[in-house]
Amino acid sequence: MSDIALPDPRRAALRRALRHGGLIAGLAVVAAVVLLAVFAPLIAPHDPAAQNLTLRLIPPAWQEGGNPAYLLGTDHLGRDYLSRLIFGARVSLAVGLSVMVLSGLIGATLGFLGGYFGGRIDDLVMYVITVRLSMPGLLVALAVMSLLGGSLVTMITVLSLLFWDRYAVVTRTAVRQLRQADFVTAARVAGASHRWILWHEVRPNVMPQILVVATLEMAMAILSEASLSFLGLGIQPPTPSWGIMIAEARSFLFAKPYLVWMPGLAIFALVLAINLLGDGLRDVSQPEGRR
Amino acid sequence: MLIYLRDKLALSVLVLLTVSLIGFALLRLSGDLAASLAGENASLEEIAALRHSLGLDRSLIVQYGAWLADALRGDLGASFFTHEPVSRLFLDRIGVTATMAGLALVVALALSLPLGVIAALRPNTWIDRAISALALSGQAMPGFWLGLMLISFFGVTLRWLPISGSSTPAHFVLPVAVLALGAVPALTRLMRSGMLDVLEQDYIRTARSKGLPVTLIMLRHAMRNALLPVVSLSAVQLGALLGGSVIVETVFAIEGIGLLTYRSIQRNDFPVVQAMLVFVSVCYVALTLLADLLNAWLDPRLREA
Amino acid sequence: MNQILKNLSVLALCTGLPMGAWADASDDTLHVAVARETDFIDPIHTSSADGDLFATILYDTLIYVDRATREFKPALAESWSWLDDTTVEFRLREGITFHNGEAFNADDVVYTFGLLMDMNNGFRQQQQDFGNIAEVTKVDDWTVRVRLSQPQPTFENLLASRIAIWPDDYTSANGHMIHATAPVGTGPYRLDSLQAGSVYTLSANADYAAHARPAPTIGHIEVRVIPEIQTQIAEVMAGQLDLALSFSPGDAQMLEGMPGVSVQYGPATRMYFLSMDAAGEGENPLADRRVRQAITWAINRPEMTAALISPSAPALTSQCNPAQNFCLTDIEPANGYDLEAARAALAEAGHAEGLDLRLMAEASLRPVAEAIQGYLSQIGIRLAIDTMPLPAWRTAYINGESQMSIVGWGSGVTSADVSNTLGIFFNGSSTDYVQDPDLIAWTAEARQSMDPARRTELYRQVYTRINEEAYVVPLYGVVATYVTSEDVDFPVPVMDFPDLSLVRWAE
Repeated sequence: MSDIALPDPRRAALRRALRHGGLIAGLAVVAAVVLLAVFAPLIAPHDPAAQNLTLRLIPPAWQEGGNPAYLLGTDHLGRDYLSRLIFGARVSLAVGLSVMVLSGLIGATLGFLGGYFGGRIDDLVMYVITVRLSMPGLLVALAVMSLLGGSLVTMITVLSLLFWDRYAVVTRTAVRQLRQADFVTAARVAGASHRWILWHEVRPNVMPQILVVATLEMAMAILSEASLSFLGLGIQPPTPSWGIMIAEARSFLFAKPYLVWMPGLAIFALVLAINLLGDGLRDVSQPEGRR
Repeated sequence: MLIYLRDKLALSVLVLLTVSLIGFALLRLSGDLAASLAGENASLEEIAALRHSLGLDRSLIVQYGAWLADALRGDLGASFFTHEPVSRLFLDRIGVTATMAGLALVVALALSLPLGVIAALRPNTWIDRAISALALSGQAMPGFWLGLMLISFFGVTLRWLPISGSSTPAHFVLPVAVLALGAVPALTRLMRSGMLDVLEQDYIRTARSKGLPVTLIMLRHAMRNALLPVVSLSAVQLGALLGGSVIVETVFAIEGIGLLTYRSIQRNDFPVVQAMLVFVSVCYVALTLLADLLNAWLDPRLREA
Repeated sequence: MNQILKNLSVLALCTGLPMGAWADASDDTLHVAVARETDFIDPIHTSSADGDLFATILYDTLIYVDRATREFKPALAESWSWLDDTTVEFRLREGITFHNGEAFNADDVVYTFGLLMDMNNGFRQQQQDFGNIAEVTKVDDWTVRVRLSQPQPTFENLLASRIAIWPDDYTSANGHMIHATAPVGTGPYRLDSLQAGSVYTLSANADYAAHARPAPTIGHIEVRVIPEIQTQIAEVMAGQLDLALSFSPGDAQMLEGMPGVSVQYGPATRMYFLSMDAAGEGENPLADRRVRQAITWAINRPEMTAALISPSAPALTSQCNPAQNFCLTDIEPANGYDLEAARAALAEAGHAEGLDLRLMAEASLRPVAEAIQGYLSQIGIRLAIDTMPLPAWRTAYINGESQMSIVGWGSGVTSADVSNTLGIFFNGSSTDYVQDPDLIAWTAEARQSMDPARRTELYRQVYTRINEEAYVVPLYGVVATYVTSEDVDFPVPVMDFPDLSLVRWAE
């Protein structure tokens, strides 16, 4: 099917990857955050939940009144901010990754089925997608979270069940365009099974689009967690998450802005890195001669 | 084409029924409405009486049936909180939210379409990188945080723009900016990737190799096909904008349907939340219908489906 | 692309246009911000601090509570007297007209009381607040007699807050719901327009008949609902607000010392306590007094109050706010902070290795919940926290699902007396997690006793029993915060029941 055959596509992809600055940078940041999250108990200088009201709102060490024992200062309950940031990486990553994968499985599967088979199956898929799209995600999440309370598992489940729509819509549209492409028709004529065609012909061709959505979706999940926290329905204490930290610190937005900036920057950096990674993967995984 | 339309409409009705049923079940499970409505000092007897007077002591199916029958007659009930008809609460507020979401979508498209096209035409150059960096930065900021930052800079430090409310056009600048910036990254990236894909397709290559001017190719073939996913996504985005208006309306104190719904969720004002769910549902259905038609118009191949 | 740029620049130009006036005295409008919307703007349909803000200036009550002294003073009633323990007679003021020109007389009072007594009207907490009114009689055009079923020493609190007087002709012609959108009263301000939940504009009633409350001096009031406090702070910093009423002391602290802004604190009647499921059955560690004592002793209330609420907020030692009538603060045992005693009590109760408990709280109380979580972890109690929106919490609490809860209670003039705050938590109802027969009897008697000495004695018994048994942990009292611009002269009221008609432009 490929009209240009590379000697070894994998090696070529790797070569492209190593030359792709954005991909390397994104990968580095994401890897660093993952390491931080995994080894949080070893790295964090303090217990993130240990409070001391006599030591509340200490500024970062380099500012006047700072304390070297608390490098980034303390929050409104006197808890070490650096340690909370480090442990917060766990929640934000867990939410982002789980939601990305779970919602991706739901959405992409629906999109493939509907886009490829068409007909009744597509009607059913369209029906499910439209039902989901018809419900305002954030509002339904709010209603459900206020009903069930905010545990990590609830948060991930609710977001996954709500935020697969973009996968489904994009995949379905892309697959629909592909299903009458020459190489698909050729494979069908050659007697290939639907499963084989879907996996070997269609999937690689829509993967770049799914990857783009996946990174957007992971970013969305991390931001949604922050938004729900802002509206008072975040994960229950004392688990710190970056979203919760911003929400808690917002009373100090004008007085101690660094309390908002730090977790904000953490989210910003992580989301940016995920997106760079996604962009890079897309560039690399897309064999030039394919279409 | 007519059959296509008829099927779409049938689907829409089914979807609306499903959403209203899901919403109904979901909301009725969310605690004892009467207890939360009766007030801080209310006794158990008062709560029971209230429950009865609101009809909350009937079975779920009966309640849904009654609600549906009323809704079909155009009666969405009255708010438990203010006793105003839900339809009036909505009509009073929909204009502000719709203006905001519509403006935001227009601004977002106006920014993201050209940005996406430029990026795709010059892939992997500094222009492309700058555009994606810009898009990525917009994406990476939580809306409420961005809103508060804009308020503190443009409203407090510079005093160029009003901070909260919706009484003059100037009041809409900051909220629309926040909403639009939230939508720009996704649209730009999708436009860029769609354009890239299309530009690599055989017929474009052929056209290029024939020496047709790039702009002509773009307008005639590439844009059209690259727009397909963007149109789909725009419909989705408009819904997301309506939902995302909760945050923006809270931060900027704009009395729209987002804020109304958020408050209603908080105080279990069930008729309002239910009506909001159905309303958004109607919007989505109408928009996707429109998007499907647009897609069919843009890509004749899809029409046969 | 060029077209787009052009459109954008047009948009940018448009937005540089009108900005709305800066807040100052030039347009004679007082710009006020609150954080929460209210369901009704009259005090009969609803009962909340959010509604009272409007109700106080739109309507008059028979008697007025003086904001500087908390004394009851004549208002629509020129005088009133108790004929016996259950009958009060009002002598009405003559020559007063409602905003619509209708004349005020005894018929309006009789009509309004008639609505209060008709339980079909579904006013908020109608049974609780108005259920004791048995009969209203018009003696003559300017005299009305009201009889109660039971003696009620706190009835004047209601007369001065919830019982506004409606015009009988207007209300019966339009239905009482008309007061939600087109209120007509005798108050110092009338409503010009409202966008429910968002903007309310009022203007001074030029014909206002001053009595204990003087005639208004500011021409217009605009109240805006701004839900996000940070946005309100920004409005204050930008000089757009004359008065902000919803700040916590912590938020207000940041504005102290800002040029042009004045921050004042005043007493409030609201209080917070930690509720424990003392009466719960089954395997319930909180049924053990020693566990409850351990929890009480492990929480450093003064430290927590000063750090999280305000240095000027009262840390409570008994189950009442010192701003309330009949609050006693010298109760023994005072149950102060004592970690050693707490650990010992917990060990004695058989929980030396620790204990798992659940705490529910409304979402905005999260910092307090986390602080309690931190304190209790010091004695080995692992506290799981559920924060939720207020209605969800209230539902769970009424349904008996709370193991521990942070409960906030009371506000305004109806809570000026402790009977309201002790109210439903020790009276044997579904919200009573203690179910102590003595407490039920004592609070019931105190509620109806007309003898202040007897009430003091009964409440002393109540507070002492609560502390001895550590049934609840009284946490802290609230401080009312008033942020004003320097253009405004705002007399801080003695309780969190401000009267906006008393605000003046500064000289």
